[in-house]
Amino acid sequence: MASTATATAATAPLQVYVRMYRALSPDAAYKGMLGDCFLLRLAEGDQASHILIDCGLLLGSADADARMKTIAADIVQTSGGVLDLLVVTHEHWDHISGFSQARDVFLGAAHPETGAETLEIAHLWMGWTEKEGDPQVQRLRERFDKTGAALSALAERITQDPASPAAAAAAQTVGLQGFRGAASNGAKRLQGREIMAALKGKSKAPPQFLEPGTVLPTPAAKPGGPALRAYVLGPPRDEEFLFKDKPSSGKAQETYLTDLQLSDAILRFAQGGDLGSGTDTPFAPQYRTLPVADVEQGTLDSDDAAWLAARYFGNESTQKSDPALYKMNARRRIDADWLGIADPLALKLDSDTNNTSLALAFDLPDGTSMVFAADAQVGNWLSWHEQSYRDETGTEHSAEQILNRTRFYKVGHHGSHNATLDEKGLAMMTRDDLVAAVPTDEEFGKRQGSSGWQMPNPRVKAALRARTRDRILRNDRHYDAASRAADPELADVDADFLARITETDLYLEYRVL
Amino acid sequence: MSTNYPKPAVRRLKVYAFDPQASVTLATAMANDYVIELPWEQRWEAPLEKGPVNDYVEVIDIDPAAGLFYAPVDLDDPWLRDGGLEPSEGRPQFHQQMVFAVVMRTIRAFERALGRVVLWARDERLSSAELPPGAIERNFTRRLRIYPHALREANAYYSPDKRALLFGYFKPPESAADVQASWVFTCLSQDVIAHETTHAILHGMRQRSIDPSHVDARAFHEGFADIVALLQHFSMAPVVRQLLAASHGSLREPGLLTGLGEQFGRAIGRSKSLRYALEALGDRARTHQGSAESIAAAIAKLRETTEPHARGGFLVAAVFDAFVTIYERRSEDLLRLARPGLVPGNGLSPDLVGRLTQEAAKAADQVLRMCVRALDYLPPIGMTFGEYLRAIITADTDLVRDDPLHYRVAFVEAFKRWGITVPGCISMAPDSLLWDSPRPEEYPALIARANGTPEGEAPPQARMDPDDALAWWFADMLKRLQFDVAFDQADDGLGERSAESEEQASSGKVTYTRRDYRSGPAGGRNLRDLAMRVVTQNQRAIHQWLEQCTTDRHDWERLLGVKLTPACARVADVNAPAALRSISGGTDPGAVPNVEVHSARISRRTGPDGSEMHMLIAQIVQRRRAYFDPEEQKAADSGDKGVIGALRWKTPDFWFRGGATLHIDLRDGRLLRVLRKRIDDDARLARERAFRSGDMIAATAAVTGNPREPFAFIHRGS
Repeated sequence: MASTATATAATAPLQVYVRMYRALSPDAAYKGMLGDCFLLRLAEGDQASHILIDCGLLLGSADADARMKTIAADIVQTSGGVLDLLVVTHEHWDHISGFSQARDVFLGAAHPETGAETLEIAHLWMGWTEKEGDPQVQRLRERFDKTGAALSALAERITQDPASPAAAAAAQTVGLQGFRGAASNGAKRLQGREIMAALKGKSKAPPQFLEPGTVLPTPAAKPGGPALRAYVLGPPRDEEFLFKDKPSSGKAQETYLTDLQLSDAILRFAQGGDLGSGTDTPFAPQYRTLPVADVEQGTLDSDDAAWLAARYFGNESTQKSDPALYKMNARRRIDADWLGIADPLALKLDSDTNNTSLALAFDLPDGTSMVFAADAQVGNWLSWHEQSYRDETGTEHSAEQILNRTRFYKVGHHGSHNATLDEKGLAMMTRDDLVAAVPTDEEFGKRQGSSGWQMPNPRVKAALRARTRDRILRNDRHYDAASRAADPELADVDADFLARITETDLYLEYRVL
Repeated sequence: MSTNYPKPAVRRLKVYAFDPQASVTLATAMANDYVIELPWEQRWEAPLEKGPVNDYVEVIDIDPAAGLFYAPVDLDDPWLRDGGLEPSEGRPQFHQQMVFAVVMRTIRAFERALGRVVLWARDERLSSAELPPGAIERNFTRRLRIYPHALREANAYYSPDKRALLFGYFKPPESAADVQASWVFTCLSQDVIAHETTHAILHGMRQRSIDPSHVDARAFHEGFADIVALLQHFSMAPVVRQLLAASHGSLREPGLLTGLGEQFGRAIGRSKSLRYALEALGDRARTHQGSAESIAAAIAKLRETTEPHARGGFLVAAVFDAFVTIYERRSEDLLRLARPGLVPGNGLSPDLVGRLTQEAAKAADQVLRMCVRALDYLPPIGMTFGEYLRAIITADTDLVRDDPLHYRVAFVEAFKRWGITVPGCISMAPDSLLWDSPRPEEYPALIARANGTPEGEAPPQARMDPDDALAWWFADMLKRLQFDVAFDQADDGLGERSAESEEQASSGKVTYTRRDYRSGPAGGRNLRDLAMRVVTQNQRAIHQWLEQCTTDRHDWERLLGVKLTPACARVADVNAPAALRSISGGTDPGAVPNVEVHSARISRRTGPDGSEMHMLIAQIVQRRRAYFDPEEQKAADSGDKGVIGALRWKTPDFWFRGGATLHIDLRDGRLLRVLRKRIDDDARLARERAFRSGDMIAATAAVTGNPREPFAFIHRGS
């Protein structure tokens, strides 16, 4: 049994640093990084261990490749080319893109002669949801993949087929967040799965797929090297929790992925079908003489076509004489309402994937702990309290006890509204010296989706500020004296917090111990 | 259209009584053809266009998934004037005809009960600054859109955002054994059409009714829509005849009820909650009903049911229960008369079935009217099922003085049996369920001022009765209003029609103009347009009147349940939460809070004894910033914007609304009733907060998709 932090009677005290990468650049437009990449450094005398938790940034971020390569180079340099442990929390681009964008570093083959690797991954931890051959995993994958593939195909169809009027109309209004954008679509999901597979192959030791409730030590380079006791909080096995994404009262308001599905017609359309011909329409050819595009352009010589164009699209004279009415009429069109289910489904799939996050807590030798919530959503959080955690000494810990002693909290899902539980989460983190880390780029987040993302969400942010007394690390914030003076949220933050921060454009590093 | 022949009384349009599948089921095939009769367009209505398009609706048949339009049907074509197209699944023009006919029949049923025209909700996203002051679109949408082939899924819904009915069609899965069609069209199911139309009408009448402010709000929408669809079945004599013949005249026969339940909305599996309700009704007929234990069980069951369809099912069951009781009372003499001649094993005589069918149709019509009329008797926001029962009883008592067949008792009993109670009422007797009359002694300052003369207080012999003193105040409001079309400016020259100029020219009156009496495409009167402008005009007049009620504001505030005085005048200490600076209108303590005259409608109804009721129904509401965190609420109430932050001050967690529905008798200005939900009712706010904190996050969050389409998802989830 490897020694754990508490059992180690080392002469030098253990030092723990958490480095949150952000790869800023002074003259770039972006001011933060929306994506998780955390390097934990444990130092004890002349021995050190390195743990990397995720490495990615949101699809569509500027300079993504270059930034990830810079980060990867720093990881190699800081760790001396060996990651004692790599933790991959879940298969989302903003957590794993770096393994692809800097694949030479992370996944590069060993040197044919020397056998040397740019970066060695000694151990790999993933959630049980990555365990091949597990029947539940199999079932979940089928469900996720079927929906994901259908949505990807749909996104591709509506963006890549301007010749189809149905597709062209849908492209205007259907968001399909995360599934759109040329290379991202079908490619993205496959790449995600491929990255996970490649990492499993890259790990020296067989990868470990962690079950909730497990307590185990983090691997160290050498026996007796610095290590922490880790608690596996989630993902839950219980699907009641696994698919619960939203705060809610009562089961009736929950929606499960199985309740939402694309109709057969939409699936056929996604696969390139033409719903206006053949067996995909109930109407005989004589009723199909008025294609939408021809009616709109007025190329048909028919009273009916002219009548329909004026009624549905409005005529140009009203556009000038009465713009408000013209706008109102335009809002009443239904060009893409038939795809209305696609967007909720895409978001639901996204949330469900977030909920497969491997959520971990680490004990520190001084009796405090750190919580890395990845992108865990409501159900994942709630499930933490459904089990107890028995450590190697036989002592039982509850989730509440772990949260009570938390001094460093990696905020769930970049601070979104449903990824930091209040009553059974943040409210239990009662230490006076609590620090929160939010890997975000608030401005960039606001430009995502049709109505923008709130990362952090104002309510979550207010709660975090109150709990931590403004000791919040954010990728889109600077902590030097000049920046502090201009930032009211940092006006009253205490000196000890600031003294523990090392700030560069590349990362924010916080000395926990 | 000018012709020398007399105009026919009605336009006849063929439809399916249930849906196309019913034609291939032996039990229903006989009665599946039906003809809907609609009144011919009147002189003051626009003629029917192709589409069909009339003053109320516009059918636009676009199938966006197929990338096609389907040519609009022209019901004025000579070949179609007798019944329209024959029922046909494969002809989109028949679909247009049927959906139009059923929607219009539903609209007419509401108009008969309400005593006024049905109007559609406004575009919430349209800022009124974009439109001229008199524009109809500020308050209403001219026509409801109908898209018969909008979706490619087993779904149909009303879109409040588009004020449109969207119908889907699909190939049923091959596993569905009872479906023998290769395509299913939701726009060919009478139940589905009537249900969605009811959503639209309800939204037009109560534009806040789609707010999820209470657990009963959406449940009421769903349940009420089912009630309307269900009761309309009983106006279709051939269908009812067949059902009653098979069930020996009983409406509690389990077979008949489940049969109806299965047919109901079958196209999209909408029948679940209804079937449950109807089956339970059948069970009840066999077992001992109405015991204290069974009522307690029903109350407990209703309490734990929160899903809108399931909860709405209780309302459907209660109303249907009342309907069956009323039918039985109306038909028991007929069955008694026929009993001597009945031979066991033989069916009822066709004559008797015919008479029973009439009684069922009559009872259904009366129950539907009672249910619809009650909509005017609800507080402006956040109604509950219990309040709806009080509304039904009060509305019926207003119009139908004596109740020999005890309809009202039937309703009360039925609601009780289904666990719908009325908290705060001393008993469930119809008399004690009536909404209270206003109590003039609560408004002493208003009474005193009404009695005041320039010289001082009026001498005792000249004093007003307190009720009349209130009426005198409202008479002052009524004098500003317009109750009907005005003709005084009919000859206003040749000027171009424009809402602004007309109103300026006619001192605020909405009138016909010379143009309206010309023939040709630019002329023609439109009473419905005029009615909409009258409503808008009256809303504005009431608002102006309210602004002038600057004296005795405390009494007005008590009466209306809203705040009218600036925060600084309300309490000595403006920092106290009681100042309610969270009310819309800004934090400036000197500013007068915003008040909205949400609707002002004139209702004219005639009772069975020929008595008439002319009433103004006005809703006056106000909104207040509301926050989930009670501490933040306190800060907002005392106007502490710093705590809230500018962003969340502008868009609070939700808007809490309060106000009153006023009923004013138009014959003498008497204030008949005030149905209030006070803006400063913090207990109600706490309840709404508790409800919304569960529901609203889900509503705005990802899974429910577009919060502007509440019905799209409710219906998809079922």
